[in-house]
Amino acid sequence: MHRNKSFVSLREARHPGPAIEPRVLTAAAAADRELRLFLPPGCDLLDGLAAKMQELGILTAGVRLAGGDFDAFSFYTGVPDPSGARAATFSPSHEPTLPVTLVIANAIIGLDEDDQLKSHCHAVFLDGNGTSRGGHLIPGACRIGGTGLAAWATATGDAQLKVRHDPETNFPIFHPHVGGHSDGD
Amino acid sequence: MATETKNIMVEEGHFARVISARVRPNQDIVEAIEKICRQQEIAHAVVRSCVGSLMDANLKLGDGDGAPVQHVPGPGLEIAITAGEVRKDSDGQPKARLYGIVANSDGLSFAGEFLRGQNLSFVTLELILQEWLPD
Repeated sequence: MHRNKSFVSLREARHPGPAIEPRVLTAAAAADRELRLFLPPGCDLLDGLAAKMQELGILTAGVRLAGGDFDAFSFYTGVPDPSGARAATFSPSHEPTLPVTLVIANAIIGLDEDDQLKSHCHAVFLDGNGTSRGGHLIPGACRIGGTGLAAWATATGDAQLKVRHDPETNFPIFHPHVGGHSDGD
Repeated sequence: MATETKNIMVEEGHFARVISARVRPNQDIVEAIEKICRQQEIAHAVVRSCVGSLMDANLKLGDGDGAPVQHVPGPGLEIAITAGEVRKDSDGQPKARLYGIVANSDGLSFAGEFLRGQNLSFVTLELILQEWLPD
């Protein structure tokens, strides 16, 4: 802990590719659907969210979650990439003591390179010992337990997010995408 | 005795445009969200969902210049902005206040307000913002 005026100097990330302009990318659309979803026990959190959105014809949404229990749960954290191909990579999966209680999470649902819905979700949760932990939840590996879990979603209409390869970071990453074409770079 | 309410402000309004955005690496996330709002000519907005990563995090705990700051070393911190609001300042410029969660490589978690100018995006920040129009 330190006081506001005595920072360590800021470090910048070094990525394998050159910096690409513009540094912020946006797509705008009129207000779209607002949804409350309830995911039952036994449902995989992220696969369930993505499959239901696909069924509803929603191509991108921001999702807010809090509370709920899990009887299976795995997550990644960010670690340096020993290969040097990227500035960082995902850790091996962490398997916390069960049951896990979700404290709070955000998820982004968008399109992958084949126009299938995929999710990106970061959360803080309590493991079975009551210890607070956090990271990147793994789709297909976080199964809802207890009595289920509510999620609130904001769909974005034509202002979509779609994965494409980012030469700067060498990651596949969500980019804004309007009306079937990229706003691109 | 009744609770004093005369200083509690209420603003009625409605949500309008939705913005999907990506912030590339090495951008301060508070300033980047303000830039997005300027580009889209949005005065007031809320963060509807946001995930990404930071090089390092500096989280303000309390208010004012002397507030304690929690420094969380990265790189590759996983973050979510769980409460974020943009309001126009007295000059009509959008100003963001962002609160959220941070997780390091060991899966340890932290939380607080992202301090302006002190939280650089690492790989990406993915963001759904929504405009708020006061009536």
